[in-house]
Amino acid sequence: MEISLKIYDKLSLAMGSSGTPYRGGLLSLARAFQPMPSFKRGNYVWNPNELPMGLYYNLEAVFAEEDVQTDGKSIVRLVLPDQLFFCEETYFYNEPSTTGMRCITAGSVWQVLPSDYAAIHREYGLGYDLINLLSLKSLGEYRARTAQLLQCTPKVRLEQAVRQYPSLLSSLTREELASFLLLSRSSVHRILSKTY
Amino acid sequence: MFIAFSVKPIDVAKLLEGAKEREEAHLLLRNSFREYLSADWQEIEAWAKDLEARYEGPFEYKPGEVFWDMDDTRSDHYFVLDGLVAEVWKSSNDESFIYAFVGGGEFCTNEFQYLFGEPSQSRFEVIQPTRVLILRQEEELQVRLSSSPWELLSFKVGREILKKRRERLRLLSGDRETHLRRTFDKYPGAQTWATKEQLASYLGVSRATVYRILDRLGLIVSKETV
Repeated sequence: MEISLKIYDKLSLAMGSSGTPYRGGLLSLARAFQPMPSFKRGNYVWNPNELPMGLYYNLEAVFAEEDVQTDGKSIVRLVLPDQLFFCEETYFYNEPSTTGMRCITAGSVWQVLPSDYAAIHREYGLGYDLINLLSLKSLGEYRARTAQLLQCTPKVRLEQAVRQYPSLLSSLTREELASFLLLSRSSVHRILSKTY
Repeated sequence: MFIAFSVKPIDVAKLLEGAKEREEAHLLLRNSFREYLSADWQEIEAWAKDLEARYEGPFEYKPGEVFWDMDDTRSDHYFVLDGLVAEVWKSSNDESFIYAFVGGGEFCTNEFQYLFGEPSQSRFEVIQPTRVLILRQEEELQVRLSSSPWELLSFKVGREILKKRRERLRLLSGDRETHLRRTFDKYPGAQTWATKEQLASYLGVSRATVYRILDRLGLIVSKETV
């Protein structure tokens, strides 16, 4: 399937029924995505304090969004293949990023340039609908992840994560997995040796 | 012939007090709109005033009362003037916990209904006596149909909520003591009014852990003992 059609499907899905009046705009937006140089493990799509304005489509890589704080790094979320993603601080608030988006598994990413994005938005009057609907996805993800971290035992947390991201165990190192699940490395090792 | 009738006395002082309270409450709301829409304020001030006038209240809620419950399908919009409310969320495995606190100057609505058209999966329960202004969903629909600044306002309020959730997730990945300290900084009422059970539910720890954290923070433990 042509990449722009895949991206169009993603955008349409995000917009749901409210996307119908914007079909032309979404198609034009999907066609404006351009391939970025391939990402290898350890490369960053963006770093803290940058202003990454674009909207991205991850074709086949795996990324971890890392929150860098004084007491260490933690993984906020994972971006798996066939997902749209963006830097929330910049996209929603026009503020510099507080996170880094690091490649875990190599692959290609497509991006729509901010200037193209703005022009298409203007031309098709996409207004706040697209950005609002993309933010709904984040709202849902944050809620689910908060619930997971607050309520689940480490074992259940790992099981849920593997169910949600089947390639998790092969994509992340034990240290990354521990960071994503907010567990110690020894806990991860203990659970894995008993369960997997 | 005389006709006897009685007139119920009017408490003028109380009426005036009520009018003053209403005026002050609406001023807070107006200032909040102005903060969110500052860049375009001159152009949409009249629209914002019309929106402000559609809010009813202030209404007072007591601890334990709810704004809305699980499965409710209304999506009225609340502007919290002061006090503290907890969003109690039931997750897919049927356990409930406090997902967020909402305090003075913040907006809230039944987002499951408003955003996804589904019955609420959360309950907004009052922790500390709370005063609110309410925009009924029927009024909101009028506002939404008649003009576009609602989308802008909704977008800006939504961004703030998203930011708050991201920050919550971020705090959860750190130590719980910092999380609790930040919570008390932002919502001082939580320190006095939330029980240790509620704080434990919010932090995802046991009551004993909350007690230990409070002890470490040198905070006086009131009302109840573990």
